[in-house]
Amino acid sequence: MSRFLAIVMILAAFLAGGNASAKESPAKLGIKPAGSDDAYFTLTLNPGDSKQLTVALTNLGPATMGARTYAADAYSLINGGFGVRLHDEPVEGTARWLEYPSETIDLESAATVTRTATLTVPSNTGPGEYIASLAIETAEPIPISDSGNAVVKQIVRQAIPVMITIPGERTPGLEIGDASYRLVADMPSVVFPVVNTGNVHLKPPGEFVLKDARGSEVSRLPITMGSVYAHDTTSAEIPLAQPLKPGQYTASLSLADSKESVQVSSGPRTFTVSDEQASTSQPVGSGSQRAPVKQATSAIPGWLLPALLGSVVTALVAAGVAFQLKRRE
Amino acid sequence: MGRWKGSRMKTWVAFATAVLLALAITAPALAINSVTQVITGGVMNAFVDDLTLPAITFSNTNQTNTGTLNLTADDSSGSTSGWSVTMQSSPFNYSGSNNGTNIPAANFSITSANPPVRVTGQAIDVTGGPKVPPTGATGTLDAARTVLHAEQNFGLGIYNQDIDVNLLIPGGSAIGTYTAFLTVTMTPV
Repeated sequence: MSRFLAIVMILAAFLAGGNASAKESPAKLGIKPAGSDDAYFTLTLNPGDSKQLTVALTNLGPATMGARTYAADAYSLINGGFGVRLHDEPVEGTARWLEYPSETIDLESAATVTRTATLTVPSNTGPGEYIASLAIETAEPIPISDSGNAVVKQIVRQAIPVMITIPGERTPGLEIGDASYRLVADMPSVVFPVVNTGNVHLKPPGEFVLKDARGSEVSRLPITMGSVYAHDTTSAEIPLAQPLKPGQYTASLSLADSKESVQVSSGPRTFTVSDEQASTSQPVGSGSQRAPVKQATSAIPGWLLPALLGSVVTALVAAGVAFQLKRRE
Repeated sequence: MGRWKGSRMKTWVAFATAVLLALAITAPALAINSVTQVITGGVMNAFVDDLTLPAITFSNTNQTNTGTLNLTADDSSGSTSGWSVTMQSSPFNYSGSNNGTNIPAANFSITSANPPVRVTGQAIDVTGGPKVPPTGATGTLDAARTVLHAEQNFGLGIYNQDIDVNLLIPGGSAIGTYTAFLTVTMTPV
């Protein structure tokens, strides 16, 4: 019997040890609505309304942890999605509706404390969707191992959205600005500003098309954007599989949110790639999707090809005429 | 007939008494045997546990230092909201005695966000994730980038992800130490 137990214990230890890739977190801080199974706040309020929001702040790490909690503006990330301003960035948006002073506390292991934020909707607020955020993070940055002499320390953060709907007319709207070419750290991309001009959040997929000066298609890629929040501006950044050669290009981006019946196209937007921007032609790394690039071996200006063709035809006609004249002689 | 009726009545009374007794005996037993199990949620947590950025020597020309961040994303919240992990870097601030200048955050970039690997919990789903967003995961880290995402009802587990990074060190950067703060954020949307 004891031999059997020993075998079971050895097997259990082996199985536990086999899960080697489960790394120990340097911080396990959490924030969520207190007394609720919801992961975040979703509220419908009228202008002038006020509501108390109580959050539970938890430390599930093995030791006491210094934690900072604060209210922050939410914004649309590049290519959409829920972004949260950092603790030292100014509060200029919907987070101003939250009375929740920034605080640093020592949270004991396995402890949960509650804090209450007071949300007040300004009386002159128009109908639509709004978003802010509440966050908790490590008060002190934590070193990451093996980062050499370029030292990187991390701030481990969890943030939850506070989504507020003010009842009334919904007026969705979207605009796309001029295209530009970026080559940063050898990574090429085409970037369009995207502005949510309406009062509802949108999540628009779409398509990107790139043509060279001759009108030949260089690249085409379906785009999936995350949330672009009402009254907010972000950018659609389309990574290219390789840098563009010097010359003029035309890019277009179309986006559509079928749920909100919004459809918009940038139309053809022209930009130029300079010699300096085209200094490298190495394909960049893999990973998330990149727009494939089909380019001619040399970037010939659009007018040059017809001109060359015309010259050849003229030369042939001239040669033919000369040959005929010579034969008659 | 009357005797038969009386006997039938007695039988019914006896039967009813037996049922009542049985209920009286079993009811407390049933109450004692009922068990309530409450499961409370844990937290969502994402962190980088390793980064390899080799030390480099001084140069008058630009140098590129490449490395790999190992990210762990853990959804132990018990909710089914789905989640996202973003990363954003501060500039690399110089410390040393050679009058060096800071390296901008835009010089630190993600070149590849590799598909995640499940450590434990819910299997990875092609559609629901966790997965690398189709676009936007690669690029400069002066702005927040979503590197991993799980749709609603997916990503209930622990996942590892390798993220290849690139630090462009300007030529003539002074000898010393350059320190950056990387904010790793996990959100339930």
